[in-house]
Amino acid sequence: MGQTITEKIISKKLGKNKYKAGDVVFIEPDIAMLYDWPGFDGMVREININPDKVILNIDHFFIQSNEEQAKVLRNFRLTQRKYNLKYFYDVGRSGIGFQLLAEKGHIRPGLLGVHADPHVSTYGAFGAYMIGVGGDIMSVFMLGKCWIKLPQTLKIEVTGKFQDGVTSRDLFEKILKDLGPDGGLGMVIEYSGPTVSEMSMESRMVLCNSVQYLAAETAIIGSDEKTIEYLKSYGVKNIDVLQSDADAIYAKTVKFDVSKLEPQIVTPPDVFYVKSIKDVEGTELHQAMIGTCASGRIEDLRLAARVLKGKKVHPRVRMFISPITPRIYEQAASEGLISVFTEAGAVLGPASCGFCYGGFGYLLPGENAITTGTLNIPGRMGSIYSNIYMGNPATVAASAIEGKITDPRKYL
Amino acid sequence: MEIIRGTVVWKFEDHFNADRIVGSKNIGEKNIDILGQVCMAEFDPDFVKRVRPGDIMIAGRNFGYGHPHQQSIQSLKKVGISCVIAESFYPGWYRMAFFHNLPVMVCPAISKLAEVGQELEVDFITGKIKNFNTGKTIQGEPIPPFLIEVLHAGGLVPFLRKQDISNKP
Repeated sequence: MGQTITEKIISKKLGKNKYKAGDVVFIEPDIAMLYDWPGFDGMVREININPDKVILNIDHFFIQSNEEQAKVLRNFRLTQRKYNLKYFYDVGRSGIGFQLLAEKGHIRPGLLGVHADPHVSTYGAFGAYMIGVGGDIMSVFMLGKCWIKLPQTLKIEVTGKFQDGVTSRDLFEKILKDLGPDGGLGMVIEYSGPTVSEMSMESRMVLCNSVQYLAAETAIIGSDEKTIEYLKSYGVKNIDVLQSDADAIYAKTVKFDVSKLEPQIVTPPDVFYVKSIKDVEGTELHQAMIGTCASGRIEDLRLAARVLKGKKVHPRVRMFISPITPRIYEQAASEGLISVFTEAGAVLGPASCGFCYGGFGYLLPGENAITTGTLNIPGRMGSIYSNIYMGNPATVAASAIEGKITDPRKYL
Repeated sequence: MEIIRGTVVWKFEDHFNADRIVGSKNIGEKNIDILGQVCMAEFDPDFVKRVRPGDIMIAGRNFGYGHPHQQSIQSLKKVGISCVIAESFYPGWYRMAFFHNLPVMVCPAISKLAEVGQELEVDFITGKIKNFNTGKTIQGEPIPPFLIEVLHAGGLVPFLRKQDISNKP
């Protein structure tokens, strides 16, 4: 009987014919990743496993701004020294973890990895099984294992060609809108089909970034020539092509055609209130932001620059743009994108999660922001009486120019 | 602890965001006493006065949706909730409940077969739920054996402390 990618990866740990969906098993991941957040420093205090399996990076408090944050960073550094951790990416040598670890060569097809944060599903784009386990990450640091519930696979087949100004982020929001907030409950979402094959690795990562909002365990995409080429550019060698077997069994298969897909906007008060852009066009804005683990990659910055080139950010709007890692920042600079942004009046931020969780860019009551962020619950970026809308980088750029939510297609 | 008996004190809707148990302003709160005092205040200011240790909560689909914060679970533990039974759980919240030693059980028919005020007997091993008011027995999904062990230990951290780390992988 054929196997899905997920079944192949996990069966390698469990043994042949041991995979039974729904079973809870105590299993040994290949890597355990963690970033800086209050309390997370406590989770990583006791490491009994091979320290080379532990990867820590600083991205939330990239510029520490109070005592609590400074102490979290200090505790991470103390842990690094105590256990002589090889893979610790400190301030200035880090970037947003859900891109950085691919650039540093830690991610490859077939890997089983855990993080406290479910956005680690982003790395499913490389054909790796990556899950967020919250505080249970301690179980991996202390014992080398954690429990997982063996998932069924939901296959999402994508066909059609995106219109210019419509991205894989819009596809994800459409999937969430159509399937609902428990549309992937307890399953791994496997994306496939010609549109996914055509997608860049960046677009695939965005597609996998937030599947937790479908209540899914994680997302995964079979590895191919594009995966190999991307990882090779970061020095990874001996990369496997890992695909589901043709006769693999899926819990369900759902099909999406993107040909007529329009830019989608996530509206307050929660991530699953997704609307088509025409339903919210014209909403007045005070702030715009491009960055976070759901954007800020080179193709996002190129797209935003195409919209912003020669234009000015609306006088009412503060615009922040944060390339996802220093490396991507450099690449954007060498392509002339950074000067497009500064000439437009945007502020370039450090590669940090701060813009997403409300670390910088406080919103006052009654203010509206549009972002490429990951979460828009009330109070996320300031006052609980402010509103956060989310869209693709072209939409954010076009909206920043006009000072109101704007369809980006007319700028492209 | 495999079989508990208690009264249904609350019934939640589908996709309930568990942060609302303590209110969004308390999702960073560390003081357990405060988390107990604010439990369900948004829905019923008198909830903490009428909830009794051992009470049970029931819920619809996808209970605990959102970014899971531990404060909701700490709050339920503090007021003495013995178990949450839902048609289904958001995976991150389900995982976190066991971390904090709160038994939770899946039962796809629970919303149809139990109401607030009714008394239930819940068997975590067999998944059987007996409703004393209706006389009916409902079949839920047994808590997986591994997670029963975690509950026996008193949550994930005590469970980890009990393991022989000399035998580490």
